[in-house]
Amino acid sequence: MNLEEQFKSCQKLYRPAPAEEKISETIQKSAYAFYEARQELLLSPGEFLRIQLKLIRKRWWLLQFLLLCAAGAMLASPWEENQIQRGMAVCSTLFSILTIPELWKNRSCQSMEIEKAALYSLRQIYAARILLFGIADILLLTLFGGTAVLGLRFPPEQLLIQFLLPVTVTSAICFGTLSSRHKVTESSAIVLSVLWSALWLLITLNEQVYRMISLPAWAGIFGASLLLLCLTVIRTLDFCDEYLEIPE
Amino acid sequence: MELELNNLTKTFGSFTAVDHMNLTMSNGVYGLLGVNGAGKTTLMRMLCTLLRPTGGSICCDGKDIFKMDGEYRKLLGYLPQDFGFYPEFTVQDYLLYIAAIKGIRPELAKKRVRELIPQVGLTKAAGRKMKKLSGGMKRRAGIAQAMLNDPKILVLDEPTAGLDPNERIRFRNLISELSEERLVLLSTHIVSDIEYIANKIWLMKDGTLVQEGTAQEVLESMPEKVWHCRVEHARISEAMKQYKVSNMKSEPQGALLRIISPEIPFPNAVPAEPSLEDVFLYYFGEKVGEEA
Repeated sequence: MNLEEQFKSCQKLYRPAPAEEKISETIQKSAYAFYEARQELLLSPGEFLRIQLKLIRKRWWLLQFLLLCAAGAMLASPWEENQIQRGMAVCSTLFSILTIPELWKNRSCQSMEIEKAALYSLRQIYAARILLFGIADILLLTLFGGTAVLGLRFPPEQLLIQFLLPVTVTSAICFGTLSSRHKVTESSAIVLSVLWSALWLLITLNEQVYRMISLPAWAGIFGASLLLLCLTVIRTLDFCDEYLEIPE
Repeated sequence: MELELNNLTKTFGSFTAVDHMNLTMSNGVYGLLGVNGAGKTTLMRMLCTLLRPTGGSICCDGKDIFKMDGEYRKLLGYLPQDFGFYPEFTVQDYLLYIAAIKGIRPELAKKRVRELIPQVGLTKAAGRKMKKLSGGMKRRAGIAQAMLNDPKILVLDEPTAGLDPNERIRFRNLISELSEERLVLLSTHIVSDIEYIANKIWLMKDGTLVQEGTAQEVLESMPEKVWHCRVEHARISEAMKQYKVSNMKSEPQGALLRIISPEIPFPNAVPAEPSLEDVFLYYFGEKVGEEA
């Protein structure tokens, strides 16, 4: 008998009979071991950020983009300077107001209590959302600023005074109201932002006041508004730890 | 798993919501019973690290839960009284989102959601938006989110509020089913919610525990007796003012009253077996005309 024949006869003698029960038991045990191992691993901060990104409604970013397109079109138009100033003041306020629904989402949906009791705390959830909004808005504003200054030859100092400064102040107002101990609603934040916008219009349209403030002074005011924004963001994060401490 | 409350106190300004409470809990179902404003929610919020105690401490297996921070919250499942959610989410998406903030990895989260949805009876509603669910379904979704991380400590604040009797029974059975090998703390002002499922009952009033024990021990703690008697129409209001009446059934000739009193209230009164509702009324109730 040659080797091949021997091999064939051997195959006939020892034909393995698969024990299906044992196989499914092994599969179950493997799956269990896999999930057990996974249970020990926690979601990484990157994955957590990605899930928060999924939660944010992208329509607000689209609206912000469209608003900046409108502002760009306004800059390219043959409008008079004071009309452009007025338009920029309105656009800058609206740009910040568009962040309000998402920032107030946890509060308006009353989901803060469950989120605060989770492993990734409410503070981390807010930090993630603020970070994502910050990244998206900085990208949009960079795009807008670049187009305005390089493409439309709009003076950068005017962009800073007429657009970036009111955006920063409005955002600070939004975060300030969000972290208020008086449980202020979204509409109150919008009303305050609009009031600020009206005040800003009065300042910028008053030529005497406008010319009185020198460029370094405007830069200083912008720096102060940025600082104010940072402080209100920190206050918002601190508020997450103690919002229930405020009696109803 | 053991939770220990040492001299736990919480004040809001001049108001004391929880007043020097001392308790120890291990695995099993604990029912916290009290009227609205007794301090139940404040106590539960402290147990879930949502509120910091003004005084005292809460320890889990000997470690302060506020120092344990995330390590403690990993063990915790919580269903608040006012259960909020993102209305545009489907049940499945909502549970996956909560799983994510509980730090559960997506592959494990999907498995847990697949297991929990049928367990809470939401198979048909899994793809439905949260805002379209009935009150009972929302509560069941709430229980499912609390169970996602297979918590060793499950805190449920008024879980049956707003549910119809059928759903309350279903809910009770579900909690019993989930209570194996974990510590379940359940607060309610509805006696029947905990009568049959709680291993230990705590009666809470004005921030302190007025009575504790098994259902039987709590029943035996009442120093007064329960009486059944028939009273004419003309004497009903007098009886209501004079005694704590736990039940009144109108009849053509008068009313059948269930009265809590140390001595026989009317000559025709016969003693009756006390129930937890009677005990609740004894500790928390008022006679007609008394200030709450």
